This record gives sequence, C-alpha cells and structure tokens, in this order.
Amino acid sequence: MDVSIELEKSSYPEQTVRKSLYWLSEDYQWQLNETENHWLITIFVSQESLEKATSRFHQLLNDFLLRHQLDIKTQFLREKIIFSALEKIANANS
Amino acid sequence: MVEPLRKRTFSANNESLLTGMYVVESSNAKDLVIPHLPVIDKASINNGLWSSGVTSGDVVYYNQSTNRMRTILTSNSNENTLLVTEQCENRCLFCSQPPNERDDIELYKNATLALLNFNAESVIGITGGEPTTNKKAFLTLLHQLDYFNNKTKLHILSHGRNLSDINFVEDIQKCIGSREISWGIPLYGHKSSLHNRLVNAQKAFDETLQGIVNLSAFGQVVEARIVPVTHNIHHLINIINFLVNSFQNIKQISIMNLEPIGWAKKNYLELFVPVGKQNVYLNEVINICLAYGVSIQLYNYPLCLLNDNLRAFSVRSISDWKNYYPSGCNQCARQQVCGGFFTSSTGKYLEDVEPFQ
Amino acid sequence: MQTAEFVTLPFFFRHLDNRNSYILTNQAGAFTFLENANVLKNVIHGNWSSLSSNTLDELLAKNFISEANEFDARKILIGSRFASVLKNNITEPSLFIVIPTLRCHHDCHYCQVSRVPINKKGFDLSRSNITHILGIIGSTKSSSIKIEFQGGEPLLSKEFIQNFVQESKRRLSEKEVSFVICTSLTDINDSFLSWAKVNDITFSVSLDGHEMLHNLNRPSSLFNTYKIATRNIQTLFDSIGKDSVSCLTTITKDSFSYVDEIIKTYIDMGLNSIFLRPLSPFGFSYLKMDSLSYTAYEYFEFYKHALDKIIALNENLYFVEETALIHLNKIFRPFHSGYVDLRSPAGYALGALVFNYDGNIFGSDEARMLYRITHNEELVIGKIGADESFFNHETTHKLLSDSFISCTPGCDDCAYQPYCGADPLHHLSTQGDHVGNKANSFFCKLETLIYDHLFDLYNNDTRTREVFDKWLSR
Repeated sequence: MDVSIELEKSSYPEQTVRKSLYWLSEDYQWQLNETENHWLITIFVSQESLEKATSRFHQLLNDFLLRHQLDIKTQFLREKIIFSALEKIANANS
Repeated sequence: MVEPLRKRTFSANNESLLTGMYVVESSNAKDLVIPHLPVIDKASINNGLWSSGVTSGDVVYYNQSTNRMRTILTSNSNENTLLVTEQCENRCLFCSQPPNERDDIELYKNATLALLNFNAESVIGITGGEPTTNKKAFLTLLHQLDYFNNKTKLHILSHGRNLSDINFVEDIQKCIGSREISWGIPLYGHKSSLHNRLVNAQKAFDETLQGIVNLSAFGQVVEARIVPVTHNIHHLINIINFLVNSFQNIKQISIMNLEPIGWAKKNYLELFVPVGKQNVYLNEVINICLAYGVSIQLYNYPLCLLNDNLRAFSVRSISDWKNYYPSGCNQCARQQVCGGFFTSSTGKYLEDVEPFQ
Repeated sequence: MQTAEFVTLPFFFRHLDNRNSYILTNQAGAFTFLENANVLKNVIHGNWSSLSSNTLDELLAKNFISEANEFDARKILIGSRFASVLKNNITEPSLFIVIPTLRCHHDCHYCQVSRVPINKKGFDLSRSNITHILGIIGSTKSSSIKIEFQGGEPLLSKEFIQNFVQESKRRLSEKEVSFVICTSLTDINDSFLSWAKVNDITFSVSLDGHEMLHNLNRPSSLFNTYKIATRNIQTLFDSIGKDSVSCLTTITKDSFSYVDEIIKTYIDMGLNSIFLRPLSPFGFSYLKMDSLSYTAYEYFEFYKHALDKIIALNENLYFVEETALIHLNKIFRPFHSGYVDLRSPAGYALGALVFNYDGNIFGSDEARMLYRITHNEELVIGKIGADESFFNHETTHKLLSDSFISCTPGCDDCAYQPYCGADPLHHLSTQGDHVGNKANSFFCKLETLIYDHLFDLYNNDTRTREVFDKWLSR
C-alpha cells in the first residue's frame, strides 16, 4: 500500500520538501517526483502504518516550512552573528 | 544617632597638624621609591581609638578646621573603597552617590597617593561616580601603580559603558599587566526599556553589554550587580536568565538590597521592596545560578528577614563604618554572622527584625 | 501590557513528541520551551499581541527576540558566546592516549580494540619511544593535560608505564599532568600499588555488572574476571582511596535485562558514579555487527530505565550517571566541558592524540580502533620519532572541516546543535563517510533521545532538576 501526496510548489520550496524527506527516511522509503507546479511524493507503507507515516510527514513538513520562514526573517542577523563570531576568533588569534 | 560598628572619623590630638593625607606610623621600609605621604604618629590620635579604628600603616585624612581625622585606607576594614570621581554618565533613580559634573581630578590624585602609600593585602574597590568617565585619569591611575610596582588588587565599580570602546579596553589591558583586577557592573534589566529607565539614560543598555563583551575578549572577569526595586523585582528571573545566557565572563551575581541614601532616599517608598516580598523572587533565581555555575551572593539582607534556604547566600557585607544593629538585635543569636542594617536605615526606612533564639 | 515592537532573532527549534510542545535553542546555547505550534508560529511571524508578557520577557531574557532598538547589542552577545565555544574547540590536544601493548588476557566478546593474546610478539611499544612521545606532548600548548594508558591490558607493560611517568615529571614539569590507567586491574601488585599512590595515578576499570553479567561479557580462560576486578577495586580503595578508581560499563544485549543488578553492584562496591556506555562500531563489535548490535531505541530504553532508577536513588545518596552529566555540562557549562568526543569541530587531533603500540599516531582512540580493522593509512597522522607537522595532514583537515555541525546536512537545523558534536569516526565505520546520513545514524538517534529526555526531565520534574543541579556542582 503506498500513499501519494501532492504539494503545491508555490507553498513549499524544494529545500523544505527535501529536508522533510531526509528525516522521513528514518522510518519509510519514498520517492519524489515533480510536475511544473507540484511536488509528488510517494511513501511506501503498509496499510497499518499509512496514517502514522502521513502524519509524520506532515509534522516534518510543517516544521521545515516554519524554519524556512524563520530563516528568511533572520537571514540577515544570522550572517552578522557568524561574522561577528569569526571576527572575534580571528582577533583572539592575532 | 545610631552608632556604626566601626568609626571612620574620630578626633585627633595634635592641633598643629595641617589639613591633608597622612600615613599612620608605619614600620614599612622607607627606601621604597614612591611619592610619600607625611607620617603621623600614634600620639596624634585619640588614645582609645588607636587599635579599633586605626592601625599602623593606615592612610588617614585630617581636617584642621574640624579637628577630625578620617580613615581612607585601613587594614581594620572589611571593605576599603576609594572614591575617585563624582562624575557619571548615568542617572540611576536610586543612585547612592549622586553625580557632580565639576572637575574633580584631585580625587583621582589623592586616591593614587593613598594606594601607593598603603600596603594593601586585600582587594581595594575603586568607585565613584563612574571611574571611567575620565578615561585618561583612569589609565593614569593604573599606569602610576604599575610604574611604582604597586601590586594592589583592584575591584572597579563601573557601569561599563565606556568599555564599549574597544580601544579604551585595549589601553586598560596594557596598563594592567599581571595585576589582579575585576569589574563590578550593574545591570538592572534584561531589556533596554527596563534597564535604561532605571539608569535614566538612553543607550546605557547597549553600551554596558558591549562593555562586558569587550572585557571578555581580554579575559577579564565581571561581577554583575542587581538592585531589586519595584520596577524590576518581578523580572529578577529574567535578569538572571539574561546574565547566564548572554555572557561568558560573569563569574558572580550580587543582588544588593536598596540603601536609603542619595537619590534612593527621596524615592524610597516608591522604590523599595520589603525583604519579605523579595523572598519568592530570590528563591527562583538561586537554582538557575547553581545549575550554570555562577556564584550568587545577597548583600545588605538582614538574616532574619530572608527565607531560610537563602541565608547561606547572604554576605555580611555592609561596610562596617555604616553598619549597625537596631536594639531589637541585642538578643539575637546570629548577630555575629548577620550584616545588620545601614546607619541610613532609621525611622521609616527600618524593617522590623525577628531575632533568632 | 503594551505591545512594543520586537525583532525575531535567529533560533533553532524541535518538536517534542511526548508533550506536543517545542524546545527552542540558539547559537548562544540558551534554551526555552513553547507550549504548542501556535505559539511558535506567533513568535516566528511576529504576532506579538498574541503572546503573553511572560512569554515575551522569557524570550527577551534568553535572546530569542529583541526590543527594536537593541538587536545590534544582542547579536553581539550571541556571536560572542558562539565564538567562545568554537574557540575552545579549536585548540591543542589536552588528552594523550598511550597504548603500550595490545596484548590482553581477557576474552571480551565486544573487544573494541581487537586485542591479541598475551604471548603474541610484535604488539608492544618499545621504551625507546618514550622520549619522542614526551617531546610531542611537551610541545603542545595546553597547560593542564591528561595522559591515559590504554591497551590491550596496559598493566602487562608496567615498566613502560613507570618509566613514562618518571620521565614525564622531568620533561613536562611546566604542565599540570594527571595520569589514568585504563585496566582490568588483574595484574596489579603491591609494589605497583605503592608506586601508583606516590605518583597520584588514578584508574579506570570496566565493571559491567554483577558476577554473572560481567563474566558473560568479559570472560577469560584464565580466571574469574568479576572476582578479580571487584577484589582489586576494593584493594585500591583501601590502599589509595575511593577517588583513585572510576568504573564504567559497556552495555550489551545481555545487559538489558539487568538494570537493577548493574546498579546494585556499583552501590555495593561503594562507588559513587557509573558511566553507562553503549557498544561502539569498532573492534569485534564492528565485525560481529549483527549478533552484538542493537538499535539506538533499544539501547535508550535500557538507558532511560537505568537513569530513572539512579535519579531516584539520589534522594538518599550521591550517585552520578556520567553520560547524563556529560550532556548536562554541555548545556549548563559550555565553557568548561572537557569531554572531547562530543565537539564541533570534532576533538579529532584537536582535543586528543593517540600514540599506538605500532608506532603510529592517531587523532582519536576510535581512529586507532578502526585502523586495526581496515588498515586505512589515511587515518595515520604520523609516526612516533618522525618529524611531522600534524595539522597540515590532509585527512585531518578534511575530516575536521566536515565536522562543523552548523554546516552539515541533518545537523544544521537541529535544536541540539549548540550542545552536540560530530563523530566522524563513528560514521566512517558505519556508513563509510565522515558525515553520514543522520536519519540512519545510531549516534544521532541516541544523542537526540538523550537530549530530549534530559530536557524533558529538567523542565518538568523538580526533584530530578535538584539532582541534576547537585551533579553539576561537582
């Protein structure tokens, strides 16, 4: 029994989908295909695990989408933090 | 009139003395190359006060017009601090030493002379006002001590704002050498809206934070000081969390109970939080400090008013020249280990004691 | 409360399945908890008016958000903390492992080092190497170091050890040096004991559990290993003192059924700490992967059970579980964590150096273990006696640059990134590359389960929190 999930590309960037699938592979095998506007994910599961797998995938997807939104918002500061950290290390060694 | 534990001022015996600083008869070798203060002998000081108030080697200041002598640095004290200036950029609502803009460089000069003539074995506090407002004077003091090979350990009470200038911190580092030095820096809030309101200065929060970070770049250690008042007592846990999560060089947190002196006096009733009400907030923060390995100490808290589990963290700390015990303390079993009250805490400022059996 | 304008600062988060809540962390190592996904969304999207003032103040205090005019200052705080931890990890070695022999008289099923029998020739380090080894150690910058003798069974080379310690007092006089011997204690004798006492040597001894379990895991054709181990631990206690010995267990499938017996053995011996460790994929464990191995979940079930029992015991006595304490130190004492095996970048060659019986120098204990099986020459950093500059070695650089977990897939989004580390040798052994696929990693799964559990306990159980605070203050 396999489950197929279709996601709109406009709602979910590739990174988000791929990162979710990266962690999904802990428990399930999957396949990722795409059309022009959609991601097509197939998860290979037994009947009993269907609900669990789908729910797990959506949990991951939801969290990675939030991370994507957070990254966009804080990208600028993240770079500054890393830069200031590296600068501090460079100064300490000079 | 309340009597402090140790008098700092007493009458002198020698009316021919000129106003100024002196070193009390000292057995130190006189061939040390330093700018010497004139020496004064035992007989110049009232006999009964000799051993308890003044010891050989102390630095004193005599005022001829009042015939009073005051100790500046003494080995009898638990806490020697030198006031180096009254200038300050902050205007803390509860400032115990309200600032004065005038040029007071002579305070720095006297402090330097006092340090050079005193054989300090324990840490000497440098305070103000703000010792770093006059950067040049601050560096000069350090430089002079270094030049005359004086190894005194210093604890500098500073708002840290001027340390946001990394070049200044670098200059300080050059003057320190092997001297043991630490910084006592107040932080009254975990956010600028709170801290700046209490120190009554814009940009204070940002600059103080940057100052502490700059000190860590040079391996310097900080004691963070908090004064709990009505505005920030319910934020105590946030302030402690902020301190343990934001810095790497804060080794100690000191919570200082409010002293009704200076500007704190006029706003006292709006500012002050009875120790009984502080207890629940103090309780919350002890465990955080324990977990993060930051030592925490409670200053100026009479033992009977603290919760039982907080007493171990209380330090018997009020400077002995302004420290006293009201009559209710006479029968208390723990008077010897308790810090008592400030001499300024009389009348409406005094809380009721509960002596230990 | 008035809704002031706030700025969201960068942070990591993780869904905690058993509570349906979220843990947030940041590069400065702070952590906090949010009740559910809605609160998290509000923080990320900046819906400040939907958040309680308590939540907002907690987030401010720990640098997850900032008031509008102060985010420059906060970013400096975060950067500075991150830099300090990083700087501590880019260091020179302070742990030096010396392996005088690979010979051993035990027959442990899981032997991680692939020992050889006691009569085998060609598996001993000659004493003539001591000078060179001390030269390398002496040239490193760390002022406080630990030298660990491992094997095989190091006490089969007592003279080597004694000569080494003797000469190090001369050659390393400017450093603060502590010596540890990792041994079964089988070959200890009175004269060595007195020598050890005078020279402040401490011992690390395997004690896998009660007699049945210990002898099952660690048999010998020559003697009852449990009886000898316990008898000699007691002798050390009596002649040197309790602080001279620390014990550890290696947990096998057989160990799973004996949580109570293992703990009881330690308590009855009068020990006040236990180090519970899983099998690692080296040595005979590597070769017998199928029969010996278990999943991270299976191991964690055992570990959780044991830890819970140990925490309960702390009501009446002081007894530490070292794995938990190592992880707690990473969270609460990020600048004082001496453990080299959970670092980013990895402690390989930066935290430790290994001088092997065959004259090879390795960057970690795991590296020499893996080399024994695979003979992968890339793992050899240098040879004792030869003139080499370690840090220019190609493999070391490649391995270290792959071990910055803020940049590796799987780790770069992880909420435990501030506290976790890289284990390149583990992944090299199990998956064939330094980084590995973390979704299939025993290491990653176990670390995640441990951190999930420790944070859950710390945040929800006051009694456990008090025990952990006590352990941290050691």
